[in-house]
Amino acid sequence: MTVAFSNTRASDAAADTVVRRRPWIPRLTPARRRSLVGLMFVLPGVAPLCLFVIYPAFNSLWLSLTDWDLSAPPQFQGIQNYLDLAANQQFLHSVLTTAEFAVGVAIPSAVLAFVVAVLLDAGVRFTAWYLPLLFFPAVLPSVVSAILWGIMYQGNGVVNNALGTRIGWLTDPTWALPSLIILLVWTNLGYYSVIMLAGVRGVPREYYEAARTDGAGWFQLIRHITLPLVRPALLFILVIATADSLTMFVYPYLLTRGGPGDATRMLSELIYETAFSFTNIGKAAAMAIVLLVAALSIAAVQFRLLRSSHE
Amino acid sequence: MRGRRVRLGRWTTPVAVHLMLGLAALAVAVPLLWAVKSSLGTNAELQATPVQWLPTSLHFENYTEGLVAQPFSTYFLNSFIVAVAVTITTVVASALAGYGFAKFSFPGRSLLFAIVIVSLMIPFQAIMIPLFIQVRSYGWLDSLVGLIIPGAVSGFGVFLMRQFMRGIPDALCEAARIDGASEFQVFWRVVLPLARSSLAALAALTFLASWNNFLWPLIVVQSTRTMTVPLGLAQFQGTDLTNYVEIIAVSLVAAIPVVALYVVMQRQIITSFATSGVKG
Repeated sequence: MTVAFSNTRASDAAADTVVRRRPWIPRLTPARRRSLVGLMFVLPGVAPLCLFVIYPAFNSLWLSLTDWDLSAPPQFQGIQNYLDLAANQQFLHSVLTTAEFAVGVAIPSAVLAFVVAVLLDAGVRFTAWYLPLLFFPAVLPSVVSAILWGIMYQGNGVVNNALGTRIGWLTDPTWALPSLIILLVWTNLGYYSVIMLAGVRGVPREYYEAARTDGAGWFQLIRHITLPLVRPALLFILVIATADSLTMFVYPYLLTRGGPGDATRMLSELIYETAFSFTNIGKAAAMAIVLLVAALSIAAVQFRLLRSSHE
Repeated sequence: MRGRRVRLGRWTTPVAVHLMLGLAALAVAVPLLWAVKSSLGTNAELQATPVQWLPTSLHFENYTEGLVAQPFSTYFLNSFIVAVAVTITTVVASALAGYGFAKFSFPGRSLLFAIVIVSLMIPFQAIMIPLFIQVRSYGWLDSLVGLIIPGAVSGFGVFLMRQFMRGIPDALCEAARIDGASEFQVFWRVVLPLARSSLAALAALTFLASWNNFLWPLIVVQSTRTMTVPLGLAQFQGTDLTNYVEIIAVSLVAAIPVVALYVVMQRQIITSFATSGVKG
């Protein structure tokens, strides 16, 4: 590193002596030299990203146009995989399940996070410790959360015993998806609350005061001032829940294997199974490209929301 | 705006607020407390009706026996090596690149920065198949190198550091340059000390993400030799299906590094999660 930058001193005189001593280094104007230094600084970050993110993304696109089982050479077959996907019931069902999961997570999360945020912002003392606690499940390894909840959700597990029920939380087709939704809401409640809190805190105090002098009660304040003004944060939660749903892998993989039937087979898990259990690389890559397009669109919305909330 | 917050009215009495927040906190905490309690109990207690909320006896052997049921010492060592290596490379590369993007202008800068932004948006699941093929062709399958290198730099890290370093006044760097500092010295002596706290936050987030990572190890690892803790846990659960108490005990041990890091750095972790809108 130091050697690479030793010929880039700001002082021209110093730089000239360095260049003169090592004539094989071309003479550069100070502006050029600064450009080069900047490039040297960003390269250790950008080069690995090109090799291990951007290049594979294009590779996904190429693989999606082939038929390949990892052993024989890949066979180019144009957009056949995409045409197959459009008629593939399991894939279409998994897209639907992914969307259901996203909405199923977003709605209760938005409501709960809004309530938590309003309560945290109410100016009551000794409420600072709630948020770190609520946030904690988000940093737990997802495998640990999955294992704990898997044991709690068992037929004779603590959830059924506490409720006095005998529901097959993870084995009953109607309950499996809601059970995973509850698990993700538990995981992310604190995270969503932080986002919502930023929105709630952004509401100018004068609005409340003006409304209160007009005789508005707390419910009216929340209904007519807070709620409309935190709409971007509500939308943001839907966007993040969708992104989480698209990349949801550990919970369905460990707890239900996408089942029962295909009841919890979300897109990421289906891609994994298609690629690594059935070694249908081309088909899995086509699904991955669908996932990529969806994720990039969501990220674009997310960036726009972030920008507008920062302005 | 943040100083004195709005009191929504006399209805939101402190008691009601604490009651409702306490309820939410309880809902989050109960599964964790139950897990701690169960890890010290027996399998029969864990399935008892009515639910036993308090321990009747303490079985610390659940921990000692669970931890030797699989080569967990190897798994912990592997996880540590991978997480530490990934954290170091990510922090170093992000600091350098963040500085380059924030304080230099050069042809192609916006293109290169666009690459950073796009790679930050691409979910891992969309590239895991070609990444597997790539790593296989390098002969890195079933090795720690294969676990470390593809995740060694994150677009998120570069972006985070660039955002932070843009806030450092140019005058500070310029003053050091006038005093005869080389470009690298400006970075090392002026910029890095100022960026220490955001570098620490990035390090914490990176360590957490690596420690918790499941999908990439699931693809790369093929033997217990290179297995990481989350994979080892999943395997333990898969092979010893009904040994609940020991599985829970080891799961809690697996969470210890995360808990420790969270206790020390929760403020930075929460704010970086929230401001970025990107979760580990």
